[in-house]
Amino acid sequence: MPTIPRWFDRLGPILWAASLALVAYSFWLAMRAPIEVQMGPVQKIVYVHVPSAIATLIGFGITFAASIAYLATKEWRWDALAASSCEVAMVSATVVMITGPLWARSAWNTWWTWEPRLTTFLILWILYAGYHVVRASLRSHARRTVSAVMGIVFFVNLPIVWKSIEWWRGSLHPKNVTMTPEMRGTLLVGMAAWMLFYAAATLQRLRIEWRAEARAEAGNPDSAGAPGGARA
Amino acid sequence: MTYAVIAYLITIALWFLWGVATLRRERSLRDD
Amino acid sequence: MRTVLAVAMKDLRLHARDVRFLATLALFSASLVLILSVAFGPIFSDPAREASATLWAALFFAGVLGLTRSLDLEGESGGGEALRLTGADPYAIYLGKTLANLVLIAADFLLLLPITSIFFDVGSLDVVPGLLGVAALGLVGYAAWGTLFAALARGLRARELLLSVVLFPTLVPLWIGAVKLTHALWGDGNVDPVRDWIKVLAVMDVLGLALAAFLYELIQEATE
Repeated sequence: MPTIPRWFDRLGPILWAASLALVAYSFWLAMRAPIEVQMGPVQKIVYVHVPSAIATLIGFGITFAASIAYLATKEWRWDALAASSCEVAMVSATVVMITGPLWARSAWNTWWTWEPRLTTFLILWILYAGYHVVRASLRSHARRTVSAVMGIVFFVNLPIVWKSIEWWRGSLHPKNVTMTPEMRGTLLVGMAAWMLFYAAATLQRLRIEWRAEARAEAGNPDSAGAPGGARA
Repeated sequence: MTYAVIAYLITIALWFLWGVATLRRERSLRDD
Repeated sequence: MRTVLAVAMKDLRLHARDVRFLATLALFSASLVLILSVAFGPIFSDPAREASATLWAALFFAGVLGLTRSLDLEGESGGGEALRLTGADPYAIYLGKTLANLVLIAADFLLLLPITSIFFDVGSLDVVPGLLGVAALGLVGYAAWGTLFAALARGLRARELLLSVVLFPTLVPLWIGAVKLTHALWGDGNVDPVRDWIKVLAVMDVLGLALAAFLYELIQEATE
């Protein structure tokens, strides 16, 4: 019966402490960062928006890789990783979808512009929300295989979606906002902070998979492979 | 300025909510 | 190859037996066209554009019904299990189902094309071959991905909704391409400026069929 290994148990709080500290530090740096000339203080959203966007993509990438691993090995831990990473990436994507328009509203006076990256993220969001809903509706064996298939198929299609939206719309997203070295430094700290945070969150979510699996092996097979979605 | 503050606050709020939900979920799975 | 055709014929025969469903599908898609033409009309600011969007929107939505229907029919008659027990190559089964779904939605297209054309007063007979070409590329992709995803949602209570939720975002590139090409054909008849989208459609088609080669069998086993 799988119990959460002790190193896992100990790693959790360490990661949380480190990431929360780093996130707090990055917020503080963001406050002190120089104000960007064209857009004003609102530009500081970038320090949370960009790291979250990258974390989201990496997260779905991990889901993709773990899904392949699951299909290859049928080892439940891979499905656990896939689902956990996917859920954390969803929250991250939501952050992107909220901070993006807030930035757009101040910078360009419109909530939405159909610009490629945000649009692709919207599609991603809907898609992976579907992942979780489908996952929650299935029972154990089907749940893992179907989730793995979704994890692979959604990700493979991503570059095509991205490119298509770009062709469709043309790029409005601020390519490289003029950044002073100080700003760049702040952004890097933000990246590190959110990557760490993401790892901590994924580990935390993985605990649920462990518990669910333990329960399943104890004689309630339908609960194996915890359904996706924090409210499931 | 306010928009940036709102953005940061919402970010914190989202993760906080997720964290609480996840912890509660684990607790309910553990207490069997 | 024979399996593919056999499976396709079986599916189509099952559909043909339920004429009421086919009629409902036709009416549903036609009413979508109607609603959208009323919404855009009576004077259309850009008929070619509005018509192409309407046509493909109606096809996409109606298509979902057809996709889930074929799996439902199979479940009802117990055909799915029997099919697997014959030991037929799962990919051949997939191709057969895709072919059947393609025929179904192609039929819908042939129905909606003249209707949309008339309501929006666009197009002429010379662009029909071009339109058929675009439809072929677009609908093959729709059927390929749709059959794959429909298998994921099989048996679930809200399967049409779930299928739409995962299928439509995935098919965005296909959707944009199809509408752009149709728009060009119904507009000035010149596809040159948008010919890149032909590549996109082709890539989507190939990708869908290729992914199914790896994954369909797994889904089939898992959702029995």
